[in-house]
Amino acid sequence: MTIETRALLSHPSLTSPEAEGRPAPPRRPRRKTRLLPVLVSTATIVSFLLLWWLASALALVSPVFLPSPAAVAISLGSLVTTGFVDATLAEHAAASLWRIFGALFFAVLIGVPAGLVIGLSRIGKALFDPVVEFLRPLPPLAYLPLIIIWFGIGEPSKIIVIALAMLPPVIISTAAGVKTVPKDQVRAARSFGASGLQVLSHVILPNTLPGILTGIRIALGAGWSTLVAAELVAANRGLGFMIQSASQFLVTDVVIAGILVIALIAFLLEGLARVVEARLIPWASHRN
Amino acid sequence: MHELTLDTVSLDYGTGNQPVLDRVALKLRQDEFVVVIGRSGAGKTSLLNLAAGFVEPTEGRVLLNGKPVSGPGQRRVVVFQDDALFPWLDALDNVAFPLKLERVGLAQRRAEARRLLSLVGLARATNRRIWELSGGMRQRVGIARALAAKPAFLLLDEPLGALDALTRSQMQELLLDVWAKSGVGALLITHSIEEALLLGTRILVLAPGGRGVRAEFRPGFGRRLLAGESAGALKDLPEFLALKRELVALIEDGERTELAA
Repeated sequence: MTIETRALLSHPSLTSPEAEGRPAPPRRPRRKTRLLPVLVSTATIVSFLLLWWLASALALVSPVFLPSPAAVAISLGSLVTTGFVDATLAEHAAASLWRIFGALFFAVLIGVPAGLVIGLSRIGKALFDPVVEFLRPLPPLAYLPLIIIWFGIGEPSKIIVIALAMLPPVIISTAAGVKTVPKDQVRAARSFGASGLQVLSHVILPNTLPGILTGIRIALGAGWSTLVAAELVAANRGLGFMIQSASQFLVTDVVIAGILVIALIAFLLEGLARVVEARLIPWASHRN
Repeated sequence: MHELTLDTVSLDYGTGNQPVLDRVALKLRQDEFVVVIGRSGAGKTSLLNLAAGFVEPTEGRVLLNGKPVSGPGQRRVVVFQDDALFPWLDALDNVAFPLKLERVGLAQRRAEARRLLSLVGLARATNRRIWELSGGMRQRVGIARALAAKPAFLLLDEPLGALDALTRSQMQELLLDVWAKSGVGALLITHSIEEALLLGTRILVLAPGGRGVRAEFRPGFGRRLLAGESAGALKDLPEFLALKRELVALIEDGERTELAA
């Protein structure tokens, strides 16, 4: 290395983005700016609770249809301690979560390879696209009776119904993820002597991971939407079953409590998904 | 001494338009730094894609040491303009990637990757994430990664095209230094005539419309740069300026001829 080259290599322009004229990383927003969205969201929730409380306190709506926030809170407490229809809230939640994650397991097991095939091959797209397009707009209640005829009223039919609702988002997001794989990365790997399988595992799959995780997030939403329908069928545990049972007896506070618990779990799962994304794919937001 | 030959190759993409390359011949030896220049549409990148094996010629053959080759291979590794690094790996593991494909053990491949990062002046950036690196640093990781594959030829597809002027000038010297030290042949595609004159042991000017090599030059400025002369001083030499004017005239004349045709 020449003396000049050595001197140049230590030049700040080769060691810092700023010196190269590239924009410096965005500065952290001021505390006040960061707090504002949190304050607005909190204000929205408080306003909603206030309106709800006012509507019940002024008896604008019958408590049979809209119990007060306090009644729902008391009901929640009793759901935790004594439960409803032979199970505590934790047992109902555990049964639902088991179904959701069981269904997610199968949706990922089938959906990711199917999405990869669709994204990588025109024949694969022709093969799987009709199935996805057939399933995607179908409401789960439409195919629920058929699933019961085929698989009975046991646990498998519930998981299958939820998995079928979760499958299209996983497939579509995975296939879309494949389309984002930079061609030059594949070419680079091939010029290093990578086999087709090595290109798939070392280049395509990591690039597709953000798409797969997005698909899982959307699938979780679809899964919760389908859960109540799935738990209509001969269930004796589950949040959907609990809400259905409560509605049959007009125990509206339990219905609302159940809805709030589902919303809370979905919210926590979304938070968990974001943590997983930040851990697994911190590079995704910096991709070209 | 390895030798890469494009034996009267033609390339068209089956669109019915004229071929992007029409019976082009090129021989590249391992001790050469060949620079290809020409207007946009002259077929520079197509030429490199053929040499890399990313596309197959519709006519002619690509030969490595006299034997026909098809598809990409480790002897002809490409450094891309947009670096094509893997953002989920740090600088060290990006460089070690070709060795991982060869199933070289972790300790050995990391030691080699560290050596190569030192060669390109990034010894202290081994654990840096790719997105934390500047454009110049990323290109240096890309060059180190390419060298990890132990190629006979580095095919450089405008790797400095996206860099600012100062960084580009520094990277030109680094590229020349790496070429001299590593003993690999280089084929560089560029739009910059000054870059071609400074780096190339041989410059090929492509005729417009993929009609092949219009002229060939053998400037000696790269050797002088390696010997310690400064790039600035070399660029001010009358012979450098004269050659630069000649190349500009050749490229502009080629374009006029094509427009007239």
